[in-house]
Amino acid sequence: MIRARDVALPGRLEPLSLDIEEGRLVCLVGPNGSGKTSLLHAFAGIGAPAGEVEIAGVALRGVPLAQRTRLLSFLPASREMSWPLVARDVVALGGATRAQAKAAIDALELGPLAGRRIDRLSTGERSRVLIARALAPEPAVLLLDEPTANLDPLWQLKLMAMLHGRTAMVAMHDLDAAAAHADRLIVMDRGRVAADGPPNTVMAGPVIAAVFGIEKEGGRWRPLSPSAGPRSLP
Amino acid sequence: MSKRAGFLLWALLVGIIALSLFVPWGDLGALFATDSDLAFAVLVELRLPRTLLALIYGAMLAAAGAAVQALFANPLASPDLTGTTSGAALGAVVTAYLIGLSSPIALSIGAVAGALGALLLLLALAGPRAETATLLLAGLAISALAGALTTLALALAPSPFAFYDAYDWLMGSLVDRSLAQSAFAGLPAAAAILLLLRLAKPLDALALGEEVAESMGHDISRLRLRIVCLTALGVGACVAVCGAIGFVGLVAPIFARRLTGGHPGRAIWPAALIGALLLAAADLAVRAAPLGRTLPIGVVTALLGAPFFLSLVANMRWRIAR
Repeated sequence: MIRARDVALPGRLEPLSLDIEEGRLVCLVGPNGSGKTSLLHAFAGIGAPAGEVEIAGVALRGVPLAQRTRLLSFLPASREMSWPLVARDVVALGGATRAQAKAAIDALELGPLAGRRIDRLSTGERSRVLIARALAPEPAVLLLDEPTANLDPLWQLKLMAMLHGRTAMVAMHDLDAAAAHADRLIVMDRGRVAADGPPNTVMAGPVIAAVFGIEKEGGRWRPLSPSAGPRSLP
Repeated sequence: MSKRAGFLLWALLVGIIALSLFVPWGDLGALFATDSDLAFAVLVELRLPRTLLALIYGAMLAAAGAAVQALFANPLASPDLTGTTSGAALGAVVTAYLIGLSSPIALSIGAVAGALGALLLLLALAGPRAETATLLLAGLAISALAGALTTLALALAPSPFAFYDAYDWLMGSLVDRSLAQSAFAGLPAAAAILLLLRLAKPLDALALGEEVAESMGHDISRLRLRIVCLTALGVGACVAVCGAIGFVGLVAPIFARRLTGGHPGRAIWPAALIGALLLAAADLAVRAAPLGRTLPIGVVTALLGAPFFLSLVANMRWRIAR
């Protein structure tokens, strides 16, 4: 579904090539500044990335605007909006039809909030409105930067369930949630892919400790002890 | 914008055009009875250019204001507060000083260049998505600089009459402009407004943030450059003919966004209508004011606009404090 060749952002993301099959939920994890957002930016065509990205066989570069909204949606990590639009109008801004916007509002249970100004909603409610905006045009691929941030536990679960079965790349910080929901887990480190594979394999390998400097002991994460040796990638 | 609001705006506009052409009617009506040719000439050569200029200049200021506000994601950005009109005035004054007032084209080019320079300086100083305080401070600095240089050019003017003429023009006036002068201001401004209207969609997408707009395929740097050039072209051309008129570009978009549910891009069109309406109404007020002599229209818009601006600032303290 996604075919990326030599995609790079100067100074932020080393050149990388990836293929992602249809219907796969790919979670991106990595420390702050490791390149999760940069990878999503590069795939969404933000910041003049180098390389080629194809979605459903269509090269993104130069694709007409109307077709592009059917191919991909990007949700930024920021939940701020400059203009005090009503929630319903925000959802419609992403290029969705009226029926699609209505369906997205229903899916995110925003009905009672639809007529309210977005700057008067709580951060979590605003997140749901912006997620609905990203989902509404029913794009082939979703690129979501920390969609679960600010959501309550129930909504985090509901959202991940909604994403299941869709082609999506999702950056997140919660390692356990990422491992639990992802079909494929990508670990980013210093602008490169440090590990890429089924969540169980990646989580069991040494890369988590090497990249994050944490380890699991008795079911709880804790910082690596200084005696654990130098931080190096396998 | 709802159909009803649109209809109301158009109806008001038609009304104000009629008033602008035919009020005051007393002397003109009497003239029509005695010398209809002369009366017709007064209508076409005096009142028509004045009305056209009021409409197009108001629409241009407001459309530019709406576009610049959408671009900077800031409701306080407008051609006058960001120094664009002062830059245009400086460009025109410098041109007039160097080669005289004889060539309207040179004056227009000078004003457009001045406006462009001021906008580029603003982008360089405040950055593409400036906080309100930064934007206003940068705009203030540019206005102050352009104002000082304009005063300097006037102080060095060869004769006191030249000084008085330039001063009168700087205050903003629609009086005694010819149809040709209206065309000099009106054609570039009309083109700029039409091209700005085509940017409504990307500017609405920009409300979701620069990243999202870019992911939707909009080229933000090109959008920025287009708005800067179109604003400089339209506002510069109008300033060259009518001088600097303030606050219409700030006030009209704010009312327009109320009609478009807050959509910044979609507001360009109603803003243009409201701007035309406001300036034509201000001009009507200038003519109707029983003061014995004609007030500069720029003074009237400033007197009405400044308190509105102050109330806006007071209402937006939370934004600046953020």
